[in-house]
Amino acid sequence: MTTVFDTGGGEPAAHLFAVGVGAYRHLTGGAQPLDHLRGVRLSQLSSPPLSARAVTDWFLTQLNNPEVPLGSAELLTSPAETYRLPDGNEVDVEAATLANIKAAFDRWLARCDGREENIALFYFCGHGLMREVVALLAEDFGASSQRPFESSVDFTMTFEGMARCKARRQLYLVDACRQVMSSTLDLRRIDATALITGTFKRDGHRDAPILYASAEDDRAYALPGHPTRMAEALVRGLSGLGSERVGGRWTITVRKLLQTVAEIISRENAPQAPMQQPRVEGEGSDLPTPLHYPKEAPEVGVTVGCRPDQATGAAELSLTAVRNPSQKHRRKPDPDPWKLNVAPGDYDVTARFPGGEFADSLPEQLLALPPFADHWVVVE
Amino acid sequence: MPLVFVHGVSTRRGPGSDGSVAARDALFRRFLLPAVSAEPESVTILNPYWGDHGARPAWNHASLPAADVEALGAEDLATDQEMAALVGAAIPPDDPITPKAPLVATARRSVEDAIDLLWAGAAENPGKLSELSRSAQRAVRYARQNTDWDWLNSVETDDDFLLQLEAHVEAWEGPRTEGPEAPRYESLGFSETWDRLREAADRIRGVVGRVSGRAVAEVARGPAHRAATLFLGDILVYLRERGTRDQPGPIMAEVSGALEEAARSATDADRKLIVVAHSMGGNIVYDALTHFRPDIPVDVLVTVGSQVAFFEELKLFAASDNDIPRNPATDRVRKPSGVGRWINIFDRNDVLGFVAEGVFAGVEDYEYSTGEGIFLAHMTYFTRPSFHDRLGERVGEPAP
Repeated sequence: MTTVFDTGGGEPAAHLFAVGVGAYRHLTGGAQPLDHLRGVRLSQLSSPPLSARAVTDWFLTQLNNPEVPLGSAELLTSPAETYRLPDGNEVDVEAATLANIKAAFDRWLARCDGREENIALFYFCGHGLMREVVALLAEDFGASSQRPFESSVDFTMTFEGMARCKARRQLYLVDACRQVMSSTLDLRRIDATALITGTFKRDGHRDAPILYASAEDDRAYALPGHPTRMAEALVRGLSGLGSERVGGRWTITVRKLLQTVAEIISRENAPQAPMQQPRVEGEGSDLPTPLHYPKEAPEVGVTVGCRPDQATGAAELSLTAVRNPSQKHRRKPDPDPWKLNVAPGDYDVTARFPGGEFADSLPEQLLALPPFADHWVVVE
Repeated sequence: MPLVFVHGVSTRRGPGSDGSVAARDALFRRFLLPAVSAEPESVTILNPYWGDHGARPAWNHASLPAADVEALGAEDLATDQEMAALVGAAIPPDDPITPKAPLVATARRSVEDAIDLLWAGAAENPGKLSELSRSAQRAVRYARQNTDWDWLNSVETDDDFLLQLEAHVEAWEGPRTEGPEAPRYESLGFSETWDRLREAADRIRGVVGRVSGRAVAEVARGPAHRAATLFLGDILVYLRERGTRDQPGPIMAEVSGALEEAARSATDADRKLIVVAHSMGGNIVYDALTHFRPDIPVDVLVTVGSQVAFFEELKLFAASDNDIPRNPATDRVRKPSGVGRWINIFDRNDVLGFVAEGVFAGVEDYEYSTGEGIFLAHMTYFTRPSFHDRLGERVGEPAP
């Protein structure tokens, strides 16, 4: 059984479906490598199971939404492992084979279908390929040489099919590449498996954004042995960076969360990490659907420096909260821009030059709101 | 630091021109520019195009025997012939080619040639050129430094060769260009470079298959007569329309304009200017730097497969002095006064590339072998990662 959490209640709730595929049985390096896949340049991965668990951990322990609390969580990982619940008990998690994915999806869909107010949360991490559809590869991908994509999920059709789901709020997080592999161009079509078949009939509007970890024909990344860059950004976004004020209350809305995750990843791109370009697609991605209410005020990632750049190395920088001048941060001269986390609000920024290299600046205003605020003091 | 590349004769814009220029620029950024710049990605590369001012036969080559303009018949004539030229340059005409495994045949003779062939084929498609050039650099260095080629004996198909090459290049312990401290990320996808090389291998097989029954090099030489006429035509047109210092002709105006723009765009922090000139481009640049614009300082001039020394022997340059040499055994023409370093690269197989040390003082001659053939050798320098690798090495070394 792979249901790691289920309240079984009929109240409006968020239902999580999380899959992380790192072990590919039939690819090179897998438990049962197959000859016909020898030329397929997809490797075994370490990050997807960690990513699916990190996302599940967060929802099980942190989600705070009195109107739509967590109702259930399905988790599948390859390799299959035990999962430690917040209460310390361990449960077995099934492998992310296509058969297990289908069974878990059906359970998840049945719960999501319970009420319109439900929120359907879909997270997949593993290899992904793209042609006319996005295919998400299950652990047993490539088992059949006659039907090479049989053991993969046709995400494009599944997303279409989910328009039939009663839950009007849905969020899809596709933490995978979307590359087009040259050998797939020889195939008439990608015969991936839809988890639910789409229909031409649409039952009203749904709020259903998709966050893809990568642009079309591009890649997503992780440091080996760590959750993916997207999973880490997602947890950081959910933990406060993705907050905005809604009705006087700090709220993680789906819209702001997706913008924040994309911004976190973009900020970490070259030279620190390979270029990764997340994309928000799907339907209704601009709606401020509340997902989570942080219990504490979020922090803002602030970067302060001077222009011209060399002035930063000579400047004593300070940041003072306008409403609470006792809340003051200072930094001695350092060539790197000053990075710190502060509470949201208005700040005065000053740059002083004890060596007299540049003229001291007058206080400049900085409005610090999540996720990030950058300020450059121009000096002469 | 700007870099100016001046092309040679017989260069005319076609459907694949932009892609070829982009591929060459990517190889410059990967191999040559790191030898002279800390930020090779931010270097401005200028590619003045003077082909439209070159020879334009009034009857569109009606003076050529018909057989010499015979096409392969396919719509992709240019790309087929380019690829055939590369295959022909890599494999001598008397070497049997297995149509099913031309890469294996090439690699058994020279793995470097096989790598040049593969990467040049992949670079024909635009996009992701930076990644492609990075992997080309690693593959070429692996091929140059590796000594154990036992694995080559066990490969029979081109697909096998590609898989084995990928595995060996990735496992090779040589330096990675991103630096030893850079963390290595795992990708939730595949190496696009190697996927693209697989496409290139398919294409090479296709070309060899289409021309099977005829020596690949022979097919590639098909347009040699046409190329020779353009070569002669471009030279004659340039000399006739070179112009004067006050009123330079269109070709000189195009090239000296690019040199001037490059000199203008040099920053205070780094004022270096590097000029790479191929074939006739070397003669034009030499004329520019000795007569038309001697005021433009060039830090490094690289002439490749060029005829500068031969032109000077014939006293064809505007600045040529008929009194030099009084004693050919010892007298040499001084290199252009504004040029800091001049490297001249030639290939013994390229009858259009000349050595320069016998005519000029202060020039460094270096030999590079592209393979076989007259026009094949002359045309394929800049498509080869192995050439760019050696060029970067030469420029990075201190002058002797």
